[in-house]
Amino acid sequence: MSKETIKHVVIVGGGTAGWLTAANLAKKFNSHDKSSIQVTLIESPDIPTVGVGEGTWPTMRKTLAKIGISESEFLTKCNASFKQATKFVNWKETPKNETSNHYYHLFTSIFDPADFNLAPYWNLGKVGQGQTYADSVSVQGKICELGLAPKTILNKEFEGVQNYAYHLDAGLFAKLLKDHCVEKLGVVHIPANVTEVNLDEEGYISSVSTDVADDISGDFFVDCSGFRSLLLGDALGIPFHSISDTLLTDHAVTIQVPYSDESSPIASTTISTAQVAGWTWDIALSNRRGTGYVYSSKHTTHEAAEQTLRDYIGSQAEGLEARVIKMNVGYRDKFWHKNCFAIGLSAAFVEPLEASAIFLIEASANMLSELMPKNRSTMHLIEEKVNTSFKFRWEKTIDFIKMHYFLSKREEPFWQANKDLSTVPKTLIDSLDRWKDQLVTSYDFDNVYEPFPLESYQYVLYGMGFEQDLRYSESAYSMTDVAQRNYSQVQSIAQQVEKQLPNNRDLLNKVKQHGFQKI
Amino acid sequence: MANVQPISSTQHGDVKIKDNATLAQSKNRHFAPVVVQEFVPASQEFPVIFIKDSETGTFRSIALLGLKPEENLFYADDAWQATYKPEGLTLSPFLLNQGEDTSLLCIDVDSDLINKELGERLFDEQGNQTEWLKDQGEKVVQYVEKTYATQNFIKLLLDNDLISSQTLNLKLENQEQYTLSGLYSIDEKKLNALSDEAFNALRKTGALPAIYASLLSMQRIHNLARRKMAQ
Repeated sequence: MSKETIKHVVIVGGGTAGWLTAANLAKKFNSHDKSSIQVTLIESPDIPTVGVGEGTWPTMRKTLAKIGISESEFLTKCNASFKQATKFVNWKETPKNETSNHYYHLFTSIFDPADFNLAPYWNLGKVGQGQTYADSVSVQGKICELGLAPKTILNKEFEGVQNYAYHLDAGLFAKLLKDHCVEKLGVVHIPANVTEVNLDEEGYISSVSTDVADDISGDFFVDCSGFRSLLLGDALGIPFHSISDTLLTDHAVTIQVPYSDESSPIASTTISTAQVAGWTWDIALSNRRGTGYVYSSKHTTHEAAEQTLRDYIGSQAEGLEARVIKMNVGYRDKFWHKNCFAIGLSAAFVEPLEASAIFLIEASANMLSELMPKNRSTMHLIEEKVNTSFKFRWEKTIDFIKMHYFLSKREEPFWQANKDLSTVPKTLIDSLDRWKDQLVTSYDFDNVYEPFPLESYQYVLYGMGFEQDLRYSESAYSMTDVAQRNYSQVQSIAQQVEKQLPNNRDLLNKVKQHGFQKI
Repeated sequence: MANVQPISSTQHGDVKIKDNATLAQSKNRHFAPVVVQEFVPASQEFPVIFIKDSETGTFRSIALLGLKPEENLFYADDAWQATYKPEGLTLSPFLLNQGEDTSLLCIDVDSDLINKELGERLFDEQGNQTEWLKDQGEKVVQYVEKTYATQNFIKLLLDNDLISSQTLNLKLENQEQYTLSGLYSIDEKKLNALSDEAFNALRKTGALPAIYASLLSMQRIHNLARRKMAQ
C-alpha cells in the first residue's frame, strides 16, 4: 500500500468546507486530466448545511480568483456584499447613559507597520491626539461609517481602492462552488449518505459505503462532514478537545432580517455588538441581513437570548423566525490522521467573532493541495506538519478571540467570568503582560502561519482601550517628523477616497447590472 | 447634464439648429466616442482606444482628443482642427431615447446650437418635419445601430483577452509631465499570441482592420503632442 500513488481523493460532505476544498484540489491537480489526481465529493441529500459562516477574510478574493470564479458572478449569485472591517460596539464597556462606544478592526492600513509603526507615536500623543488609533492609521473606519464601498465600478474584479473581504450567503456560495466544481473543474459529485467508513488492516480509510452507490474507495479522504466528524471523529476515533473553559459561549440564536425597502443602506462592515451574555453579529448581504446572538446558556436563558436578539433588531424582528444552534467550541486532538484530513466544522469550531471559519477552511485546502503526498510512505511526515500548523493556528485564533473578552471593562457576570484568570490561556496572559510596556512587534509573529497579523492586534488592543505605557522608552521614538508626515498623509487620503468611493448599495446594484470588468 | 426632450412640432415648431462646424460641444472634452465602423478613418488622426464608462464600468471606444482631462486639442473657435469628425459629435444636439418598443428622436434643449434665427428648421410652416430633420433622424438611428456593432466588437476583444490597461506618460519639451490613466488599448503581444484558430475566427468576423487600426493609432499620440507643443 505504501508505494501506491495517490490517485483519488474522496471528500465526505458538501457545504462551504467540502466544495471549497474540492475546488482548490481539483484546480491544483488539474483533475480534468484523467491521468491526474481525481476528486470525488459525496454529499448527503438529507442533511442541510449549517450555513451560518457568512463572513470572510480578504484572502477569499485570492481564493476565488485562483479557482476561476468571477467576482461579479460570485457577488450576484451569492447575494454577497463587501466587508471592510468588523465594528465592535459596546465591547469596551457597558454603554452608560445610552451612549454607545465602538472601535474598528480594519482590513486596510495606509502604511505597513512593518515599515514604520505609527502606534507608539499615537500612543505617546505625538500624532492623532483625541483621535482613535484606527482613524490615525487608516481611512477605512470613516468609509464604513459613511456607508461607502471599498472600490468603484471602474476597478477590475478583485481590485480594491481599500482592502476588503465579503459577506455571503453560505448556502448559495456552496451551490455556486458545486456548479463550478462539477462543470468546470472535473469534480465528481455523488449525492449519497455515508453509511459506513471502512478501514484497512493498517487503520487507514480504504472506502466509504453509501446508501445509493457501491462502496466508494479512495487513496485519501477529506472529512467535511460538519459537527458529526464522521471520518476523523467517529471512524478514526480522534477525540474532541473542548475549549468551553476558555470561550464561554455555547449557543447561537439566528434571525434573517430582510431590508425594509430597496434603498436601505447595506453596511460594509460586520457589526459585532456586546450583549449581557455574549454578542450579536450583524452581517449585511445584498438582499438581507444575517443576525445572530452568540451566548452562554449558563448566563442567560434561550428565551431571554432570543429576546435580546429581537430587541437588537427592533420592530423589524416581528414575525421573523429564530433558529437556535448548539455550539461545541473546541478542536480535534489531531486534524490529520493516517489518510484523512478534517476541514471545517469536523475539525474545529470557535465562535465567529473574527470570521475565522471560512478563512481556516481556505488555509486547510491550500495546505492540502500544496502538500498532498505522492503515496503513504511520506504521509506521516505531512500529517505531523499539518497537525502542528493547525494546532498553532487554532490556539492563536482562540487567544485572539479571548483577548476581546479579557480586555473588556463590562461588568455583567458573563463578562466577569471571562476575565477570571482560570479561563485565560497562559500564552495570552504572557503576551498582554509584555504589551503593557512594550509594543506588539514582528517578534510576536515568528510563525508564518499566524492567522492574525500584527495590525489586527493593534486595532483590537488600542480599540479596547488597552493600557500600554511606553513613556519609559519615549526617547526611543524620535522620528516624530516621519510620524507626523505619515499621519497627515492618511488624513489627506481620507478626504480623497471619501469623494471617490460610491455608496455601498449603489455599487452592489451596479455590479448586478453591469458587473466588474476582468481588466 | 443634458436636458433631453422628445421632438414635437408643438414644442419645437420654430426651433432652428445652427451649423456645428467646430463640434462646439466637445470644447472641454478630452475624448469623443467612436464606433467600430469609423476606427480606420479616425485612427489616421487620433489614438483610438478604450475607456471605462464612469457610470457602468463597461468599455467604450473613444478617440483621444487631449492629453489631460477637459483638454481638446482639436477644438478651435473657427473650425474643427482635424480632417476627420467623429460621427457621434456631428449628431449634436440630436439623440435617440430608446424605450422598449419605440424609440423617440430627442434634442438636448440646453445645446447652444438651438436658436430661433440661424440654421436649419425642424418643422415647416404646416408643422411637418423638414427633410433635413428626417435626414438627421435617420443618421441618429443608423448611429445607434453602429453602437450595437461596436459593443459586440468590444465583447469580442474582451472574450479574446486582447485589451490591456495602459497609462500614458508623456514628457514634452519644457512642459509638465502628462499622465493619463484609465486608458485601455489593444495588447499587441496577446494579439500575436492568439492561436491560429482564434485568429482565424477573428478574421472571419471582420474585426481585424479595426483591431489593427486601433493598434497603429497609438502612434497618433505624437500628433496630440505636436499640437500641444504648437499651442
